[in-house]
Amino acid sequence: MTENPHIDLFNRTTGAVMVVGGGISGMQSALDLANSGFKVYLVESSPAIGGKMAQLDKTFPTNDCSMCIVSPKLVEVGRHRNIELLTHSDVASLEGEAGNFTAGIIQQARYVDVDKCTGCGLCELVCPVTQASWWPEQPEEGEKKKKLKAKNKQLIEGPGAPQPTSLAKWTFTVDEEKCSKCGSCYRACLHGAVSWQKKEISSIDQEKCTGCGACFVACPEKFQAVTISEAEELDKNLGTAIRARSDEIKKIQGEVQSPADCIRCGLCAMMCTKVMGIGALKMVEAGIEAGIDICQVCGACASVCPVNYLNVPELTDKTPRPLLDEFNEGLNLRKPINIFYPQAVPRVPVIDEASCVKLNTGECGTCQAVCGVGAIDYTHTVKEKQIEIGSVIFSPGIEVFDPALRGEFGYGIHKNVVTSIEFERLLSASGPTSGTVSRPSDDKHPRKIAWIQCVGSRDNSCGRDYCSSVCCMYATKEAYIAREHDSSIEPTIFYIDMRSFGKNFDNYITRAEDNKVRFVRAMISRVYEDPQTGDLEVRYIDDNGDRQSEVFEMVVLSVGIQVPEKTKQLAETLAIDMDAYGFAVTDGFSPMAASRPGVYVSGAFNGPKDIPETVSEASGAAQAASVGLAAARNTLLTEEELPKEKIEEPDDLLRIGVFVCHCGSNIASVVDVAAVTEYAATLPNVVFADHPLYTCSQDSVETIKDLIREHDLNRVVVSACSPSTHEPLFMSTLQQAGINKYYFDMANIRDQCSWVHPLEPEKATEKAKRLMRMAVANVSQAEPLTELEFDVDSALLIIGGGVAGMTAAVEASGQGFGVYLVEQEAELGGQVNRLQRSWDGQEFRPFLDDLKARVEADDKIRVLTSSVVVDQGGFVGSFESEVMTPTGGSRKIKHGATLIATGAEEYRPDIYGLNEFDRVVSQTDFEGLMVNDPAQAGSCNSVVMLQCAGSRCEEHLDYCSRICCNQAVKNSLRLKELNPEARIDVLYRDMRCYGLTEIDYRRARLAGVNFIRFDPEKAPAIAASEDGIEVMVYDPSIQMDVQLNPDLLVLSTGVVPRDTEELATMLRVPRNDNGFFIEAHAKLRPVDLASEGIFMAGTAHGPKNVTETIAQAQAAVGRAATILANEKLKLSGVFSTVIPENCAVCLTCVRACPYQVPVINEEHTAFINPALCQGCGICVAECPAKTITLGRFQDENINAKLKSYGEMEPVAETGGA
Amino acid sequence: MKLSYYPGCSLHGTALDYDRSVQEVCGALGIELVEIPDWNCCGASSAHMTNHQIGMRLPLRNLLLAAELGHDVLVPCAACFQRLKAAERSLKEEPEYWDIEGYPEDLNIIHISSLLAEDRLIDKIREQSQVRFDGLKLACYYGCLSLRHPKITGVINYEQPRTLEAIVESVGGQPVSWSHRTECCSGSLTMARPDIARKLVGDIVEAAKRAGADGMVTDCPMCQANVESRQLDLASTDYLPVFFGTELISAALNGHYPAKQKKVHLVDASVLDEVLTRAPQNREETV
Repeated sequence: MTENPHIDLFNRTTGAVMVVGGGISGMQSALDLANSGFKVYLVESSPAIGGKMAQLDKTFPTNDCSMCIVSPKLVEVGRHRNIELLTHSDVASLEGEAGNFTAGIIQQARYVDVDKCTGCGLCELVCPVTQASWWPEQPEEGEKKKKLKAKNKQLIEGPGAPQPTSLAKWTFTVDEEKCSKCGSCYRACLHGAVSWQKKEISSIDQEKCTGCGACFVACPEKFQAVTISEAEELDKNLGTAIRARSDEIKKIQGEVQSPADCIRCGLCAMMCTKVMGIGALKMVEAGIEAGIDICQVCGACASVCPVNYLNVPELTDKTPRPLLDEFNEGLNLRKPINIFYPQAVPRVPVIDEASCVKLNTGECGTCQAVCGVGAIDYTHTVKEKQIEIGSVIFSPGIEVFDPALRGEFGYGIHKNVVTSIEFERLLSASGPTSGTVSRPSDDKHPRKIAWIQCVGSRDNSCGRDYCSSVCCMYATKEAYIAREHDSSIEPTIFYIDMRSFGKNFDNYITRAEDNKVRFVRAMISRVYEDPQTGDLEVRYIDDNGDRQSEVFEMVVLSVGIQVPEKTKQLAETLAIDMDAYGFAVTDGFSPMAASRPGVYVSGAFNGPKDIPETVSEASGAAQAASVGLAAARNTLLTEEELPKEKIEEPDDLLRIGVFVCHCGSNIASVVDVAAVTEYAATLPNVVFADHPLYTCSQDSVETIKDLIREHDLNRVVVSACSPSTHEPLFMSTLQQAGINKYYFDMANIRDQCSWVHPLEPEKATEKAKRLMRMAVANVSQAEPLTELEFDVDSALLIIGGGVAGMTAAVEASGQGFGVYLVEQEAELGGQVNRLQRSWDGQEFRPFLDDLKARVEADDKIRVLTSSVVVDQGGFVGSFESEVMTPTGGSRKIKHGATLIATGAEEYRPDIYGLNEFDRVVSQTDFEGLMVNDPAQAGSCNSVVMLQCAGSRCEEHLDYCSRICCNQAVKNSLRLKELNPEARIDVLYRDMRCYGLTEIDYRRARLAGVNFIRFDPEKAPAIAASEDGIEVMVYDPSIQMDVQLNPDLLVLSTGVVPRDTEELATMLRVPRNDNGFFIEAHAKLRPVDLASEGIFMAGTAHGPKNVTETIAQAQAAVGRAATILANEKLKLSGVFSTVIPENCAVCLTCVRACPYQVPVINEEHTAFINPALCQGCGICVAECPAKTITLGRFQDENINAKLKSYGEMEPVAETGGA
Repeated sequence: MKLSYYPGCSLHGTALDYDRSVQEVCGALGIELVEIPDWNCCGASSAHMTNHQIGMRLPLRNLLLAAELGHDVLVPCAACFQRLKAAERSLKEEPEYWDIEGYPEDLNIIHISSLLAEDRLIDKIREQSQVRFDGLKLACYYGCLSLRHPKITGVINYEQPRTLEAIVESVGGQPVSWSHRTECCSGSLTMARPDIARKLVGDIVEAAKRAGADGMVTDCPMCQANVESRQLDLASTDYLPVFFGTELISAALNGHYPAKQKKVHLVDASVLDEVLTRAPQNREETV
């Protein structure tokens, strides 16, 4: 928990936080901080934010598209007025102390002006360079550049003779004034078009000239007497003109796939000599002559060749070094000027200093010439900047393990062995193969694919002792999704233990199994490549001890995660402690506080973890980082200034703008977006239509604002993805452009069209047109709605006084919020009262005592023990709850947010003699025994621990309780301390010692604890009686039944949530089948509940240990702070209204509303409080008098849509009946 | 450069030609070899399985003799290399157990391929070669003992070594890509379990052929003898010769492959010959 030594009364702390790392963790921290009144500097070393999550295809266990769910966050961070983005920047220093730090930031030179750039990507398109060059020697200052002379020339011959072309021909003429009469042009011309005689000016016969430019190339640089005319784009520069002609030729004769004959367009030689200043290429009779020793290997010639005649390796005596796209894990190529990824925020390219020709030799400059807004500036330098902040959140993220260190798998040698992150890119629609699963060696679609788990995890031999926590799940997801992409794929996952320990993870594994994902428990000894087919033979020992060999077409290595060296150095700069692996050292009771006060850590740098835990920690870190700065809240903010909303005059004409999104290739690969756009322009009142690549990207959104003003639009339609994720973004764009945000509609032509009709593009296009047109019809009927503003009560109601509740209480109080802490038992402490030590060995008692004392001493925290919340009314920011106190009386509490921290307890089923015989105990009992009576516990010479006793089975708990494996390991080690001779057998199904706890598992094995795995089909036979215990279990490692007669049988029985049925009903929040509360979004809103303003933390959410509980409690306060820190909040403009004149007071609405909002008021008519209304529309549909209306969903709207639907001409059936 | 030289029994017996080529190549590259005087058995064959003391004391004596000379020790035989490295490790870990004082910390035991694959020697080989084996496809085969166990051999890239490939490339040969480079050749079982030997050698040779190899290259005398001899038991008569890396270098440096050397092989080794007879013309063309 965060120490909060001083709330600074004199406001001497700085109300700003620096967040280092712009992955999902950093973004979440930044948003939570910025939304609760703090200025944020978000520092990211790569050119754009997004981190690892942006690279992923889908996410487990919901199979949500990763980019789709992260992109709104990217945009929100990019647009947030209180977040200052410092991308392509590094932290160089951190001086000062908690409350008042000064950080030195180094902003790397980007060479592109972020403010000017529109992210159009034209620069990247025209840049001719594709390789890392070997730069020619540069002249000393003041000296002239020497002309390079090739000593080693190689002739590039095509499959046939060159075929001169005059496509898109340029005209070459000799400038008589400049001509020095040297005759170079005459000698260069291969078509006899140049006439020249000694001491005479040469001239070009346009009849004979093919426009190859050989004369232009040959004319010495000092004269430049041959000039070009009639060349498109030449006004920009020659490089741009060459690219334009190349594209034109390609367009006329169609894209050439295999290398063809040289067509003598001459673009390569002009490029090499006149743009790059090298002159390594010359056209000769038989083909192209290459000076292979002077070639700088930039690849420009090959990239502008319209017929793929040139092949870079043949042009040089060096080995070409293609520029690999880092974001796509090197699976495709990039240019020196490169936008990090299509949805990047900021979507501004960076020029790579190492490979850009302009920055190294001063030649080229094509990107600058082509940029329409003058954003490219080659003079950028590294800038240093100092920022003043109160605290720091360090969330730099991780990298994947380099699998070359496990040479037996042949990564980097066998082409079809790829890493899991590479496979993510192969699956991704915006990846190098546009989502086609094809293998690198031959682009073949692999059928059999193997995943090898624990590559660089759980491996002492390469210094990665820890479990990476995420690989079992992501491998299952990749296998699952691969089959969604191509159902002929047969995936096999080779694993040691299936560590699906998270909420609903086991269900996901079962679903994958049902979907033909094969799981084999085996470690792979080696991968052999067939040199002819590229197939891979995998060898292993199966469960029966037999050697197996199986051939796969592709092998995916489930690489673990690790802390990059650069991050370790940065952590040293920040002076925070790391463990042997580079993960942050934190205390189990203050999980986000780094060793240096005022610095907080979050995400996988704070131990391996998945996305929801990272998001939770990020909110927690935001809370921890801001609690000490509470006094400085709102001191450094910039208020949003919205332009005054335009009031529509009655005679204003409709002016509708339509934007049809490509969504990368998500929509455009199926739907003909250009056709939809053209069609849109023909609709009544549509005055503008366009089809952006990503309508939601920051530059597109800016463009929409400009277009609204330019075309005086007063309604906007976006045909794109789901309104549930993207509508708020576009609506606020409208607001910023000065029109009412409800003058907007979205047509979902992705989820409801391109994704579901991938095989019928024509029909899908027709459907997209229809959906778009219905949206246009709808928006034509739109009315401006206003949003109500109301005061926020800054108190937090916490239900449950265990570790989660108390932690949250202390933190919320530190933030300056009042707290009501309601506990149903007489004493605070919850389940931890009954536990002894945490997973990391710390004693609970002192921690708990201290926490209770802090809660009780805090006058902002009102503790109500033996009390129950019986009713809650109101809405986010303004709740009113009723609490039943021990006296039987009730009291009303006003609060702005609610936190559910009702906890869980140990499951105690009557199995194997538990609750019957003294020799059969639970893990909690056993832990208690070792503390309370160590002598007796130590006298046990033989203990059997049974894992999953009543867990992961249908009769009892059908979920994994996550903590039991670690509990067994911890208790085993403790017993070994008490009695080193004790024999301990742990019978398990999968040891789920995730993250750094794997190290303890290894320690236990080294200490002699015996782990015996069993299958549920061959479960141990256990007979317990007064006389003793007999256990028979089949041990697969020795292929034999083993009989054990322990002194003590310890059952790991799992965790059950407390009974919260009434509470859940009363708060109207959903729980899953097991009684755990369901988060608003499994991935990105892990502590929010679906009802606004209600949060949860701790084991009420799902089984977890104390450290995770504390992190979640802090996260929940961090999330609640985004509400409670506001003085006022706004309500949605969409709510039901009763028109009293027609109301018959029939009570239909009162009965129909699931939120119990409608009441009958004093005027004897139904009344719906707009603040409480959720806008679901049920009452509107039910009202027999049709006297309830709902903004945006009026009859006019619906009728207009229906009419528009019907007007569409039916689509012709294509083939079949 | 001066090195102590430990030939071991195989280079003085079954692999006499290996000894010859090692000495010749080192001489040509300016490496002076000083044979360790009165060296004895390395303990590889039966001693280390029979008695730990004898298995260790035998190589230790060799190391102490080498220590007196003071130069790093060059060991061409993979088994000898392995035993000497094992003895060195044990000695450095527990000097008091062996009761040996003053053993030099910095005395290196070097296997032949890792020496020859050093950049400067590779460059020298390339420069001094009279001919290049252009177009000769070779499967580099390491076997086990020069690499494993990495804690003994100290080899970093023990799963995917590149030293033989570097040597083959330096003389113009083309190393093929294949996956059996560090498989067991069954050398230790070749007498006791010929059935296993046949299977393992068969797999290795088959894999090399599938990768398109014209021959194999090794640096272990046991692998060389075992893989060549056990092929004779196989059904296929399409034999692959197994060359020593130094044998190739020697032929490249001299510009010819002596018939006498060719005869030493148990299977037909004329691929080298054939490439060399083509080689001079190849060379002229490129000049």
